[in-house]
Amino acid sequence: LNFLTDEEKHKQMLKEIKWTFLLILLVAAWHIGFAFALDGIDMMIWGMPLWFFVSTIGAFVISVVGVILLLKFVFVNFDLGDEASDEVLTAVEGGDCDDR
Amino acid sequence: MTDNQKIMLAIMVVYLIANAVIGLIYSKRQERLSEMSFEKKYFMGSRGMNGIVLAMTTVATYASVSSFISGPGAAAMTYGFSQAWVAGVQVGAAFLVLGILGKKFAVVSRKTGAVTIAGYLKARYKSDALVILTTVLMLVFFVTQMIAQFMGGATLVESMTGLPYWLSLVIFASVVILYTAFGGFSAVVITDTLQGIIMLIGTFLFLFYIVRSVGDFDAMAVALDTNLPGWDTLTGTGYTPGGLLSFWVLVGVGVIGLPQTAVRGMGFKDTKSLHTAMLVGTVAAGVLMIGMHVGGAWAGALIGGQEFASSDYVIPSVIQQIMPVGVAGIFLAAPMAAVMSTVSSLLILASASIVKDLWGTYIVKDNPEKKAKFQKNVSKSSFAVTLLIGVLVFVLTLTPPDIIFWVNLFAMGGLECCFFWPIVGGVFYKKGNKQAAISSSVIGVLVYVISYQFKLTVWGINAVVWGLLAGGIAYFVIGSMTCKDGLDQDVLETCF
Repeated sequence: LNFLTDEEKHKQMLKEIKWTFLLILLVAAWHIGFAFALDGIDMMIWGMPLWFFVSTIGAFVISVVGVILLLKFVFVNFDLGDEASDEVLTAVEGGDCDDR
Repeated sequence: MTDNQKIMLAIMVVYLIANAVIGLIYSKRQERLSEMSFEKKYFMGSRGMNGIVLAMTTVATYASVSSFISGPGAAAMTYGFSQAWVAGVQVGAAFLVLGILGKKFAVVSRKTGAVTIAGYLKARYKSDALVILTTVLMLVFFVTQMIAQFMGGATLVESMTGLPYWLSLVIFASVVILYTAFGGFSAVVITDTLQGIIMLIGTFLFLFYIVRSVGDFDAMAVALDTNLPGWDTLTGTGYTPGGLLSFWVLVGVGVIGLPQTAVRGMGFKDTKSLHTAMLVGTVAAGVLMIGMHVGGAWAGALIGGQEFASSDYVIPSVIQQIMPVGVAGIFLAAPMAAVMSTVSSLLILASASIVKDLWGTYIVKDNPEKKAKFQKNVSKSSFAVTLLIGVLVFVLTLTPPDIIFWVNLFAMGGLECCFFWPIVGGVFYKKGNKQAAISSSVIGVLVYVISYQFKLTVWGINAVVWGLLAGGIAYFVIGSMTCKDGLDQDVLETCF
């Protein structure tokens, strides 16, 4: 377990968010791109049309491999912090950036 | 009732009892082990989920009756493999939601004691208007979604066992409502885990028997060519390219904005659990969604010459045709599990929102006397609220008013447009203030509803795309215009 300050945690989380987002973009691009590119080719693999097999089964494989890589190289274990006391039932005021 | 129907009913009853017993025993054990306050035990399971439970509850909440009945049925009868492609979009949902929101929600909710999405929004934006707006909208959509799920489940039980609709509904609605009300979040997530496993088993059974019945794939292709011409094309059965791409927003990236899924980021134990859940959840979602819909597309070869009232009847009919009755009973448990896991998750979050975000914050307020009383009775009132919402939904499901169906059309897209930018923008945008959040929710939902209702769209693109686009523009433009000096110091400390 790594001990990070709040600021380091925030930075680390932003990094993880960025890479997760990049992975979903890659999966989406693959899934959409190959479906439209290969649609119309008359070929079957295990009872599935070629375009479907490459785009959807492929997107599944990329998702799983991608998550494994993310967990290995990007995501980091750290302490999530302590539980606050239970006194949080108050109405809130302010919150406007300019009221300070 | 025929013998087959009796066997189905028996399997179903055993399965329901198992759910109730496991849910209640496990939640009581968790409660004894935890030293947290009642609210955190009841509404958040003391933030104790491990990786497998987190993965399964995320996937099970997300998978609904349509993943087993409507979706595969549409693949068989109407859309062929293009429907299976649409289902494939959902493969990324688990790692997307957990990877983007998981740790941020875990850290912020521990600092602020939040157990709901509105609780996070309150800490992040400090706006009463936003809390009330999002909570009320969420409750309305949740009620219509629960009704739709219950109706789907009851119709299915009715068609398989021959029991009257109302009795089918009583049998399983009472089980869901009871274990959710008595056991709270811990019971919801442990039964979700059991239900997720049942759904995976159901998927494998479905694929196995479909493949066995269609014979070889060449014969299947010949049958499908007659039954559903264009079954093997992407756009030949009715989906437009714009409509297909929209699914990447509606059931792909947009699911980050679904509060019932996002709230799971507040309930896990440590970062290791989250990492395990991202992988397990992705595998489970992929097997389930792709498996059921590929099976559905293949099932189109078996329904030649049959007429169905709607595609929802295809899968139950095919099941009875190809599976021995005992196996069909086990398969039937999968869509029922999907109904129960979705409803129980919506129910507990609805109850948490009413008790904590509305009642606790705006009726009890700061009066110390009232507060002490509220705290003293919080266990009874939480239980009562959960039970009451459950009963209300049950009664409405018996004879649903027409408006329910109309509202439910907007439920998924509406929730996404309402919550997406306040949640996602709030994670990283330091100028995202309450003005930005409120305007993005209001504008997003309005644009979505208007464009949906009046079919204002181009290239067949789904209204949710326009709603999220408008909401996003509103969030960033209004944030950068109104937030000159940055956010309050305490918001920066708790949320960044």
